[in-house]
Amino acid sequence: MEIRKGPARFSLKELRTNMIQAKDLEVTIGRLAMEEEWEPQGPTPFPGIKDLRAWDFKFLSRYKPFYAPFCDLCCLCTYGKCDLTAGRRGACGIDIKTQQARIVLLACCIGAATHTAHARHLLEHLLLKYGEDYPINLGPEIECEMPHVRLVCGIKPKTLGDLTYILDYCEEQIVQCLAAVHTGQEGNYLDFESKALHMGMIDHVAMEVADVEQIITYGYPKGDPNAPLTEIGCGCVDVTKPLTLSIGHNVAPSIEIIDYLRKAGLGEPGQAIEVAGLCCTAHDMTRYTNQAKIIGPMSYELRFIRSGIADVIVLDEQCIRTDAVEEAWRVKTPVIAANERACYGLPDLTELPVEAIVNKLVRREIKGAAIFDPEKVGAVAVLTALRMQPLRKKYKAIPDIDQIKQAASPCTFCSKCRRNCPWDLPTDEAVNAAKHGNIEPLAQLYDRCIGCGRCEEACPQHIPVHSLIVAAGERKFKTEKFKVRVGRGPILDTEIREVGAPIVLGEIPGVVAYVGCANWPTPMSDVGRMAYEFARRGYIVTSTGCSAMAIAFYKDEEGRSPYEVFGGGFLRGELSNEGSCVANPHISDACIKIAYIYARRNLRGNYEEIADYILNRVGACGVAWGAMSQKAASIATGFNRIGVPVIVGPQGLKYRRLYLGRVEDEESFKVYDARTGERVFVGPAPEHLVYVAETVEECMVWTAKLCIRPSDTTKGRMIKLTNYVDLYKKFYGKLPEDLPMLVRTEADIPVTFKDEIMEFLKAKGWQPHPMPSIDPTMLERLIRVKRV
Amino acid sequence: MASILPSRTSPYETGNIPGPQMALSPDKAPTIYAALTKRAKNPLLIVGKYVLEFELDGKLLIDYAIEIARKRDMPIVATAHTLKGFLERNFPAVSMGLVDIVNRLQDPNFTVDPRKPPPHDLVLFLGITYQFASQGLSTLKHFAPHLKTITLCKWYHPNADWSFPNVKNEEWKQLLEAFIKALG
Ligand code: SF4
Ligand code: SF4
Ligand code: SF4
Repeated sequence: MEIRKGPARFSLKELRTNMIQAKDLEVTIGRLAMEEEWEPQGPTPFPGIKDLRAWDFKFLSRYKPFYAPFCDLCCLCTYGKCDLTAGRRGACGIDIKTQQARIVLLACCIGAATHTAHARHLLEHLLLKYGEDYPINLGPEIECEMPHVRLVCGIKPKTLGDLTYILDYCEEQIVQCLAAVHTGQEGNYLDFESKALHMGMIDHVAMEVADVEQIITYGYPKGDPNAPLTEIGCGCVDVTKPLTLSIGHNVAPSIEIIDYLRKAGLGEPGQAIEVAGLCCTAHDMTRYTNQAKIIGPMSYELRFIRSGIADVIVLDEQCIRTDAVEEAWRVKTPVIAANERACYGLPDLTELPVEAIVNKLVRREIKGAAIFDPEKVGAVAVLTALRMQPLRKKYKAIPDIDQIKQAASPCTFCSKCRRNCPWDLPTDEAVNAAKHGNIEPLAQLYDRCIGCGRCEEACPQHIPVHSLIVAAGERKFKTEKFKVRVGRGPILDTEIREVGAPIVLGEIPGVVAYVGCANWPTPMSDVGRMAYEFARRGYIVTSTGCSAMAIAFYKDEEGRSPYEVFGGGFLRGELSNEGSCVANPHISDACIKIAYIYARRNLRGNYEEIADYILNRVGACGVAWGAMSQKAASIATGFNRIGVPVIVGPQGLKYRRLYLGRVEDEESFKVYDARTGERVFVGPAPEHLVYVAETVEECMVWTAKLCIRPSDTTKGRMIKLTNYVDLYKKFYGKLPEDLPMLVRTEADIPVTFKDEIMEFLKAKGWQPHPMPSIDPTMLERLIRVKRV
Repeated sequence: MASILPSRTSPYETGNIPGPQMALSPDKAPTIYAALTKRAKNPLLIVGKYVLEFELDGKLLIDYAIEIARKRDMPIVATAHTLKGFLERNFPAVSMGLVDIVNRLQDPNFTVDPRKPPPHDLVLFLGITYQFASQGLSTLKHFAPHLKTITLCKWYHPNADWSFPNVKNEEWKQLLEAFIKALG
């Protein structure tokens, strides 16, 4: 037994003293409790900033930070603005490289804080509803319930109440790291990076808490590979019915909407009322009941609000358009702000009776109400939708098709819209064509437009460019409907037992995770195209958030969504949706569980060893094709710290920092063979930890490449190279130049390309480089027999 | 009808204002850029996905790229998946991702062209996604003092040392052709 963070609780059936008489008394003393000895404690339980710094510095000496400054100035204090261009220092002495690392840390702090606050808010609500003794039980096939918490904190949480202390820890670390951003605080770019990595790790812990707490209490699928399919797309709602629309990530008020419907005898969502969502909260609603509807990712926010289909909008938190209240007001849709972190200037009506709030909203006395009680939000939302629907007659801010030409007529072809579009979409040409009666170019932008509205902001003629695009794509908008698998949550221990060995040996060529936001460079169905291709090739494909939604928008030749084609397991050639953003750690957790279940490594407080294991043996790669948010920055950085590389789309370079290896620096790509202590060059395996691809083709080639690991057996390497070479040849037209480094012995060479590759290698003067089936590690302390 | 752009030398993407140091875009850009290229000891051309997508009067941008490179015996780094286009044209381009080449260009001891001693002292950009190129140029502006950058796209790129202005396709074609001609 050992003491750990957490409360010590004593229960007394009855207490009688001279002073007190009490029954069922429960006393909580301080924050100390006993932790059973489930595993020997590792070196870094509840690590602080400095505890994993040495590990960070070790792998950052291979994957050196690469900076692409997004702004040459700093304006964080009154000395500024300081010009930091090309070597100049600010008044506080900082240079541009360190400043970039500082901003990266800030982004990661924001991301981690957002998920931690989300987890905390939801936990407090759930503790009130379910009590702190509510058990953490993820079903019979999941013994290792919260791998990140075990690994980072060194404890095994048992109840909902235990999660409180994990979030205490996360909050404390976020404060420490945020403090490092202050002027004249941290002053070295590598130290900023180490803290950013720390925040990424904390973010995965906080997300794990956020998802597990909702899975166990709301009865979400507990790692169900056969989680049901549900519908996604604007066409999946019955527009003749009242509709509540939830936007954001924190599902508590949306669950209360569904519960209220049930309690009030209004049946399931979709019967009397449509209950729909946008962004991750929609995923989490469908995990509660697949009768709830997913409208789409964040890029669908503006178009759906403007369509006027929603009769009430509930904003919870994160990735909500800041102009949502104004946009909703234009179409007479009342708004409820349900979270203190996103009040939108609305009056706090939490204490008013439900009926009084509904009256104010329905009579349009106010644009919306802040209600900080999820149960009350549920009642108000349903009653408001029911009363608003006949009054609103679905007002809309999207013109009819026959109004497009007139709306486009003031266009002067100045191109300001296009120059303000993040993707340089040819809006100028499209609006001008519409002015002359041809709306087809506008309709063609429908799939490319990420719905940011910047084109409209720039137009001197006040032409509603985005609305015109949606109007021109009206038929698609109204009818599009796809199948998506409901978020399954964690990966089963049984699945890990099945795939652990083939992943580590390389015989399953990789685990690919499509994650992140909706700032896509190409039509969002391209995410589905990539996922489809890798599932078809036998990779384990996973997904979360907006990317899990995007996958559904791809259709194969037979018109099927990838979720209809592939099973939902964490298995070879399957494609799963883990759930919302906070379900991301289930993917990093799967990597951790491979080390724990398959390799029997201890998890408890043993972060460094497990990250080393994953980096060298688990061929996983994240793809955040449309990464946009600070949360995406911290999520990706958390994947990096645990040893998983990530590819982002072209806008991802605006995060300012990548981790890039340079394989010609052979020394940096040497690892120890833990059996002998020998230093062995392992080639570009993996070459980078964060990479940016410009095109889908490049992204696919790199996805295959970044799944290559030193631990691959010859059979495994052959399978991985078959995919890498095949994709490279298909998209680049020849054999990859780095084959001599990746082919260790002849047995690694893919059978399909054997002759061609042998000839190529011979021409390059290739010699087999011994790969004595090493036990790769970057940690000297793991060497079992030191070389004399 | 082509677009009429509001300002020739304001950042093409309205908000892309990096700071006080922004690219020069002189009136006689083609001749000046050609002179800079001719004077450079180890120039390099980096191209992106648009070389396979943009056409000027039926001529793909990749063909302009090859013409430019051949004039000065200059290596081309084909980023993204553009290598295929060069293979089809029998041009020996080097394939590398944009961030990989930009990362290496920060190193004054790096050269793509083994025939010439490092560093590359002039780097030309053509046909790369605007924001992506902008960020890559930013890295070079801040961390590669040993080289200068020129962008040959139709957008004004503030993070380059020298950029073409914002122009419509007809003028872009003229600029490219004048540049190629001036290369000799
Ligand atoms: S924090 Fe430093 S660089 Fe930034 S404005 Fe202040 S003095 Fe200048
Ligand atoms: S709303 Fe669409 S077209 Fe308009 S600027 Fe944004 S992405 Fe471009
Ligand atoms: S900004 Fe407005 S006026 Fe100018 S091209 Fe775009 S739509 Fe036309």
